[in-house]
Amino acid sequence: MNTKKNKLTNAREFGVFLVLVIIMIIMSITSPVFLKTANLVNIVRQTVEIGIMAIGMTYLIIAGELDLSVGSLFATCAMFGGLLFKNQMFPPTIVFFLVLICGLALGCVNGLLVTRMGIPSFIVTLGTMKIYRSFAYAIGNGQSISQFPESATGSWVWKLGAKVGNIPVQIFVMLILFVVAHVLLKKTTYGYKVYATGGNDRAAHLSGINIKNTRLAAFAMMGFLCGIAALISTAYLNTVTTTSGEGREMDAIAAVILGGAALSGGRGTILGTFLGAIIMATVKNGMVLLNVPVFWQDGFIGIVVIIAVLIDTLFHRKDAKR
Amino acid sequence: MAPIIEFKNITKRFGGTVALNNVSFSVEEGEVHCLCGENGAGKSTLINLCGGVFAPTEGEIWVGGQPEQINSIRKSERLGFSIVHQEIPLCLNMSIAHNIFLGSKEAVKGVFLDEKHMNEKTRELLEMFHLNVEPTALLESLSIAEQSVVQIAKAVYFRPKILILDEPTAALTNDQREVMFTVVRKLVKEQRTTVLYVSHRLEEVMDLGDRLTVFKDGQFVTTKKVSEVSMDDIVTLMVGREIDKSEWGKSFATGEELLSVKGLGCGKKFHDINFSLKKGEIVGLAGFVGAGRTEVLSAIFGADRPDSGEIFIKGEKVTIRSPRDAIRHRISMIPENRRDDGLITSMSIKENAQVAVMDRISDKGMLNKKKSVELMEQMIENYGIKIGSMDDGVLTLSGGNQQKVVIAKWIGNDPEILLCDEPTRGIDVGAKSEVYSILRDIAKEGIGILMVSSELPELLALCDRILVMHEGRLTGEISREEASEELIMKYAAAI
Amino acid sequence: MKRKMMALVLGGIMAVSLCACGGGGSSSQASSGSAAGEANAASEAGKEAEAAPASSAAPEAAGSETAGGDYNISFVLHSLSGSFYTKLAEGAEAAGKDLGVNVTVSAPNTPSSLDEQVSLLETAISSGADAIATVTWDPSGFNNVIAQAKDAGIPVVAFNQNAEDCGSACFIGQDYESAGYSLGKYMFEQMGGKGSYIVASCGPTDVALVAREAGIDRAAEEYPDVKKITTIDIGTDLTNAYSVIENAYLANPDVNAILGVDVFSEAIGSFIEDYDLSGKVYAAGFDLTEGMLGHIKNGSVQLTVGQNPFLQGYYSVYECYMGLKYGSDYLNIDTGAQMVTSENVNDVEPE
Repeated sequence: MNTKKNKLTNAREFGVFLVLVIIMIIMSITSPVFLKTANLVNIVRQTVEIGIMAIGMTYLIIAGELDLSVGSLFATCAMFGGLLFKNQMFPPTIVFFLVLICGLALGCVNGLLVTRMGIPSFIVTLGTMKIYRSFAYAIGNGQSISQFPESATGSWVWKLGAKVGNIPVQIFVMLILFVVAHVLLKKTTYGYKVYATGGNDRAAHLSGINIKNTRLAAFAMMGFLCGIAALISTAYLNTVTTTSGEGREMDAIAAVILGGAALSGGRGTILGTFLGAIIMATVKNGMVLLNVPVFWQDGFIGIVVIIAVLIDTLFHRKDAKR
Repeated sequence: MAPIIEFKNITKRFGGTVALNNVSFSVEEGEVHCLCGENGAGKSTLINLCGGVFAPTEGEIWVGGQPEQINSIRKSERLGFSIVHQEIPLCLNMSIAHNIFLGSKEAVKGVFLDEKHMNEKTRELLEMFHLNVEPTALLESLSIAEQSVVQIAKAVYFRPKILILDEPTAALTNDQREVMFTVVRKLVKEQRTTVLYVSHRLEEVMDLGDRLTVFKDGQFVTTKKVSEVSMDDIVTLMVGREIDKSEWGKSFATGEELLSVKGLGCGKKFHDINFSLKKGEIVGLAGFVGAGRTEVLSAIFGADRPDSGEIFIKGEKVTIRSPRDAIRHRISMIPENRRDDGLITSMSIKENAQVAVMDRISDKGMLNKKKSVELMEQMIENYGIKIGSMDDGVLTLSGGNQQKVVIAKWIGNDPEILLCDEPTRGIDVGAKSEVYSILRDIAKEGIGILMVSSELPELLALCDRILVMHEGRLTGEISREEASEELIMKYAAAI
Repeated sequence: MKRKMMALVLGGIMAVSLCACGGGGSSSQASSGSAAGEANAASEAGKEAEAAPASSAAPEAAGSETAGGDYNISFVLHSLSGSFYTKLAEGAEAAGKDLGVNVTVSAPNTPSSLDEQVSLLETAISSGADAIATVTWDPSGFNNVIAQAKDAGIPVVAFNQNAEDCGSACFIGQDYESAGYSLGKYMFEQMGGKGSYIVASCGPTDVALVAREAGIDRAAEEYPDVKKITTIDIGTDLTNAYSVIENAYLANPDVNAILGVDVFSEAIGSFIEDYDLSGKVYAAGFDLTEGMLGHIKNGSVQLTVGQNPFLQGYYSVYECYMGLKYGSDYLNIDTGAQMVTSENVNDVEPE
C-alpha cells in the first residue's frame, strides 16, 4: 500500500481510467480517423451535455439520491428559454438568468419533495420526469421553437454555442464546471457533508450535519446545471425541441456509475464522472467510426458499463467486502 | 480418538497483513473450547476459515480425523459447522419463523412453504429460549438482544456437530445469557456437540468453558484448562501486560451543575426522568436493554423529540430539536451502534474523526488540509489510535480503535457534556481499559459524562453515581460508595 | 493478484468484442453492396448482429481514397424505427452498390433526437466523409453543423424533410405542396366537384404538413362548389386520432370528405369502416402503411399518397456521386407523389 504503483491502482478512478485507455487504444488501431484532432474535439464536444448533467448526478448519487427527471428538466429549461428568446419579452441576459432560475426552482421542487415529504427520490423524480416533460410540451404547444431573432442570436448568450479557434466554447464551460464541482466536493465542508450524508445518514445526522439541506442543495444544483446545459444546447443547435433530453437521465447515471460511484451512496468522484462521461461519448463516436449497426449500439454501451463496473469491483473487492 | 478439529500450522495472510501465523491446536469432541484474545488477535479469521469464508494461505484443517478443504459455506455446513456471527445476518423484514427456516429444506412441501410446521417448531424453540414472542412476528419488531437470541436459536435448531459462537452475548441481558448457557450445556451433554466459544467477557469463559486457547497478534499463545487459570491470568496472557487499575475510583466531580433534566418523558419510552450532572462527574445509567436508557440519551441529544419535561444547561432552560442544536449547546454523544450510527464506513479514518468538527478544519467553508492534519495528529496522539495512515478506510481499524475514532470525533468537538452509549461494546479487554482511561482523562478536564452501560464492572469502576432505570422510569440512584452489582440488579429488576 | 488478472481478462474481452463489432465492417468492404439488401432484411427483423455490419463500408477506406471514385458517403437518418426508414436506407445502399461507392448508414438511438443526430453528423465530418446526406427535419437545428461541413468542403444533401434555410446543397423528396394538390385534385374529381371537406393533421403547424394542406386548398379553389369546413389536430397517437375524427364528424355530420396529410391518416379509414360510411364520406391520406393499404382495399379510403422513400434514398446518394465525380450542380429533385388507389393497391408493398 506504500508504493506509488499501488497508490495508482488503488485510486478510485483507476478502473474507469483503464477502460478509457483500452477503448482509446482499440479505436486508434482500428480507425485511422479516431486520433484526428477534429474527431477528438468532437468527442469532448459531445460529452458536454451528459457531462454537465452527470456533475449534478454525481453529487446526488454520492448523497445517496437519484434524479430521473434531468432529461425532462433539461427540456423544460430549454423550451422555457426558447420561448423567451423568441418572443423578445426580455433581453437575452435576463432570459439567461431566468432559465437558470427555472432549473434551480424545478430542482428545488424535487429536493423539497424528497427531503421534506420523505418520498424516495426514485419515486419523486419518476413523477417529475413526466410532469416536467409535460411542461416542455405545454410551453412549445408540442412544437419545437427555432429561428430565433437577431437580438438573441447576436447576443453574448449565443457565444455559448460558438467556437474559439477550433474549440467550441461549451467545452471550456464544461471543463470549468468540472473543476468547480471537483473543488466544491473535495475541498469544502459542503462536499464533506455530501459524502457523510450518503455514507451513513444516521451517523451524519448525529454528527450535527443537516442532511436534509445537504440533499436539497444537491437537487437544486442538479436543476441549475440542467439550466446551463439547456442554454448551451439552445445556442449550439439554434432550436429547442420538446423531446430533447429524452433518455439523458440514464446516460448521466451511467456516466457517474462508470466513474466508480456507488448507487448506495458515499462513494464517487468528479474526476471519475468526467472520465465516465468521456467514455460514453468515445464509445458512441467509436461505434459510428467502426460502423457498428445502430441496433447494437445501445447494447454495446450497456456492455461497457457492466464491464467497467466489474473491473472496478475486482480492483476494490477487498474494500467492498469489509 | 482423534480430535474433532485439528488446526495444523495455519497461516492466513491478507496482502501484506498476517492475520494468523503458524497456528496449531486441536479441539476435542464434546468440549466447550473458548478462544481468547484481543480484537485483531486472529479469532475471527480462524472462525471464518471454519465457515468456509476464505481458505488458509498455508496449513491444513482436519475435521474428524480427515484433512478437509473448507472452500465454501456449503462445505462448512456439510461438515457440521454452524456459526453464530457477531453481526446478525438475518432478514429484518421477515418473520422469526421464516428466518429460522431460511435456506433449509425442512419446511418445504414441493414449491410451497409449510407455514404450520415452521410456526410450531419455532414456537417450541422460542419457548426453550424463554422468548415470549410470536413466531410470525417480524424480526425488525424485536430488540437487538432478542434478535441475537433468534440467531442462536436458529443455529441450535439444526443440531450442528460443531457450534461456533462469536460474541453471542454482546447484546444479551443477563437472563437471556443464562438461558443460552443452559441450552448450550444441554446440547453438549446430550448430543456431544462441540462448542467453539468467543467472548470478551472472561466471566463467561470461566463459567462455560472447558478449555481455552489464547491468541495474540495472530500467534497461538497457549491452550489451557479453564479450571487451571484465573481471570487475571487470562488477561495477562492476552494483553501481555498487567492493567493498572490503581487510579480508578477517584472522582473529579466539582460543584458546578452542567446539566439538569426535569420531568423528561417521551411517549411509552420513558417518563418523568429527573437528574443532574456536575462538571467532571461521571454518571452511569444502568438497567436492562429496553429500559429506556438509550432513549433518554437520544432525547437529550435531540435525536428524538421528548414530549414533556425540561432540560437545563448551566441553569439555563434550552430547547434541543436536533443534534445540531445539541452540538451548539456543546453536547456530544457517542452512539451505541458504532456501525450504524457512529461511523461512516465509506470514509477514511481522518474524515470520520472530523465529520463533526468541520468548523475547526475549514475557513469559510473551504477545507484547510493543514489544520485537518494537525488536528488529526493531535487526536491520534491523545487517544493512542493505532493506524497505518489516517487516510485509510476506517474499517481497516480494529473495533477498539474504531471506537477511539468515534470518541476522538466527539471530543474534538470540545464538548462540555459527553453522552456515551455502551462505549466499550464489542471491543477487547486492552482497548476497554484504554477507553476507560480516556473517559477519565476527559472527566478530569471538567467535562460531565453521562454513560449508559450494560457492563456492571465498568459502571462500578468508572462512575461517581449510578442511575438505574426500569421500564422507562428511574428506580434508583446509587453513589460510588454504596454501589455493588447486586444493588444495581435489584433496582434494574425493580424488586 | 488473481483479481487483477481477472480485471485484465475482462478488459481483453471488451477489446475483442469491440474489434469483432468493428471488424464486421472492414472485412465486408468488397461485398458492401451485394450484402446490403440481405443485411437490412436481417436488421429489420431485429436479429443476427453479424449480418448487419455488412451493410456499410469500412471507414478505413477514408485514408485510401483514390481517383477511381471510391467515395465515402455518410447517410444519416433521424430514426430507424419503422419500415419507412429502412426503405430510405435500402435505396441509399442500392445506389452505393450500383455506383460503386461506400455508403455508411447511421441513425440516433433515440428517434428524432436532434443532438444525437448532430453528433452523428459531426462524427461524419471529422471521419472524413466525402459527402453527407441527411434528413433535415428541424427548421434551424442543422444550420451550424451543415456550415461546419461546408467549411470542411463536404457537400450536404438534404432528403425526405426539408428545412428551407439549413444550407444544404439540395433537397430530395416530395414537393409537399404539389403532393397535396394532387391529392386534392383527385379527390374533388371523385366527389364530382362539389361538397365539403375536413383536413386531419397530426401537427397543424408542422412545415411539411402545412404545405400539403395548402396544396389541397389550392386544388379546392379550382372547384367553386367545394368548401373547406376546418382543420383538426389528430395528434400523434392512432387511438387519440380516432376519437378526434369521431368528434369532428359528430359536429359536422354533412361533411363529404376527410382528408389526411400524414401517416396518421390511417385513423380516418378505421373511423369510416367502424361507422360504415364507405361511399358516403370520402377519405384520403398519406403514406403506405399496412393499415392504410388495407383501407384502400376494402374501399373505406379512396386514395393514399406515397413518398417513395426508396427513391429518396437512392437519389440522395446519386446526387452526391454526381457532384463528387463530375462536379455537376446539386439540384432539388421531387420524388413525386405515388398515387395509390384501389386500382393499383395490389402492386405496392407497405412501407
